[in-house]
Amino acid sequence: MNQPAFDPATAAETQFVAFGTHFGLRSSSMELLQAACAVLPLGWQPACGAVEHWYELLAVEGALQLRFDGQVITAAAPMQRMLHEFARHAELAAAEHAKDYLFVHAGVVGWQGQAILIPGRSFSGKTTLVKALIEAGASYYSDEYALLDRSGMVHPYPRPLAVRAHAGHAAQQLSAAALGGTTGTCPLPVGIILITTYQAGAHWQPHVDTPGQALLALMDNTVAARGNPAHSMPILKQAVTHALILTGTRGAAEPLVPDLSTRIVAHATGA
Amino acid sequence: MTKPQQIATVHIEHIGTELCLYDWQRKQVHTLNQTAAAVWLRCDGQTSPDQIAQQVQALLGVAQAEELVQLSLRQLAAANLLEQPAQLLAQRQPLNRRQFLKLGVVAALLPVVSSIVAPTPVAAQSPSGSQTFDFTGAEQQFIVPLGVTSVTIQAFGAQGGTLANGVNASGDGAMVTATILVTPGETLFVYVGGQGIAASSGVPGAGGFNGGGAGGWAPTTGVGAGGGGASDVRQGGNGLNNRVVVAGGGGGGSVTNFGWDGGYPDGQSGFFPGDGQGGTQTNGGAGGAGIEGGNPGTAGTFGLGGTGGDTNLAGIGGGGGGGGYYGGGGGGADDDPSTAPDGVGGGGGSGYVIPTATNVSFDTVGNHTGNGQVIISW
Repeated sequence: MNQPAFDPATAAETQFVAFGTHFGLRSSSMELLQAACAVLPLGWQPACGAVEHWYELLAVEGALQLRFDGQVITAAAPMQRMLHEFARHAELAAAEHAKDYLFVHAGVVGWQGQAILIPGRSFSGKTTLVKALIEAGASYYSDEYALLDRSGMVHPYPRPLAVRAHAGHAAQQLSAAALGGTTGTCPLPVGIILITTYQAGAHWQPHVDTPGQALLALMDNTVAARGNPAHSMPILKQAVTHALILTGTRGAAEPLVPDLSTRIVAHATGA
Repeated sequence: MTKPQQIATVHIEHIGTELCLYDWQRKQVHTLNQTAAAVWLRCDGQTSPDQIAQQVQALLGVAQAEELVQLSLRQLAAANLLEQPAQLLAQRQPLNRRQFLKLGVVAALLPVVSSIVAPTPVAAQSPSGSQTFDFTGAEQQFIVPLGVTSVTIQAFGAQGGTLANGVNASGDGAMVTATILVTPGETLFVYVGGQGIAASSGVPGAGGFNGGGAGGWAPTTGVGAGGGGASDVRQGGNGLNNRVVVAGGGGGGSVTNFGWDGGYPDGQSGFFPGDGQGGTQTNGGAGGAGIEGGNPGTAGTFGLGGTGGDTNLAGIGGGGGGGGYYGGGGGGADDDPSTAPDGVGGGGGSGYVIPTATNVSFDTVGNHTGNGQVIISW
């Protein structure tokens, strides 16, 4: 890929690796570069060598512009918004191109040596459920992505929880510690996959579903589902094969906790 | 009968007795249960449906195997997992699920093909964030972030202005919240209402930014306060007709007379003859009557509060109407305030939410003070 043209007198450049993908970041000023480096994706590491994808943060005629591989992503936005867009785009790009991992949009907690996965997108209520489980003693892994390795084990991706006081309201960033919980550190096998939707007042009466249905639900939330299904599906197969799959509509999060507690213990002991 | 042939452009994963398939051409993912998988795996273009039925019967030990295979083929064809699906779908209707169950076939053995369209990376993303817009006195813009297809808007209208004697008897701004559909990269135009401008002796208060009506004149501290501006968000352009969420501003007060609050759906109306009326969903609020020879307030209009009436003597001017979807009416002037209270406060502005919005909530009568505010979250 061709590198972009910059004024060498003022340009600044760095490189980083995120989940196996090598990114370059060039900016028209050191100040911009430093600001961008403060919002790099979780788990990034400095790197040098052959860059696979380039980000450019430019000041063009007095306005800021963000480009990815030469394509304009955002233009004429204020600095903070530009950095916000860069952070979001870089995290998604790292997830999409990850080589040794698979990013599935899900809430994840660890309990009894197993992971509970709650796949779902924004406003599906998964953060509420993750929060309730942490408060009940589960360890926090993620409320954004289930980070799966090639053997289907789940690794921590502990971004702060984005907790909304009310549906549709702005999210507040909270750590697991702020909820009285802990953050997991070890990869875990998937114990339970909850395929659930929120419905006010609904009573939790799940049915046990099949691994194939779980794979379908996870694919529906997989960042690389379309871009690299041959990479995604074998990993998901590993993740779902020995998991308990529960499907159902739920109301409030708290009533699920004792049920999940009982089931995860039974699943761990093979009861 | 045609010997069914499975499509070749698939990635296959076996999970126990189930099959998960990715169709590279259509970018679809399918899960086939045991029966559907058993049938699909035998669709090699060499084996007839009858032969498949014999094999399925031997494999699953199920009665009605021929009918089950027919139902499976039909589902597989509908999912475009077989070549020449139209030909298969044109064949006779097999038994339906209810008929199978009546014949004693176990439900778990009925074929099931579940399908989704594989999401794009952005579709699978979970964006979240918020941006707060405070009063600036000018249009502001919000660019919808990457991957965001809906935003929740919480708008607070502005309060009416302070009187020349330092008292604020003006109405409060309303609150409206709603979720609207947006397109990533789209620009929304944000107008945050300004509090009515403070009046001073002999100088009535001007209306607040974004539609607040001006107060009425008086030679003393009896001047009317300006109405508060509405707060709104506009989509597809920055005209008044592009507003998708509006929170009305409060009406301006006057000496010993309160202004009325912005509200939703309608602005608050005063109940004395000289009070302005609240804006509604279809009309601006009527202006208050002139009292004891004072001039009446003007009616609110689309997006604008009415102006308070001027006094002809040493009376009190009317408060300006609050801005809103339709503005509140201006209060009438009172040329002889020594008589019984006649009310000369401005009416509150009305609110609005585009009909396609969801998660709508609001304060029927506003209680927001000071300048307005808009919070966009996603």
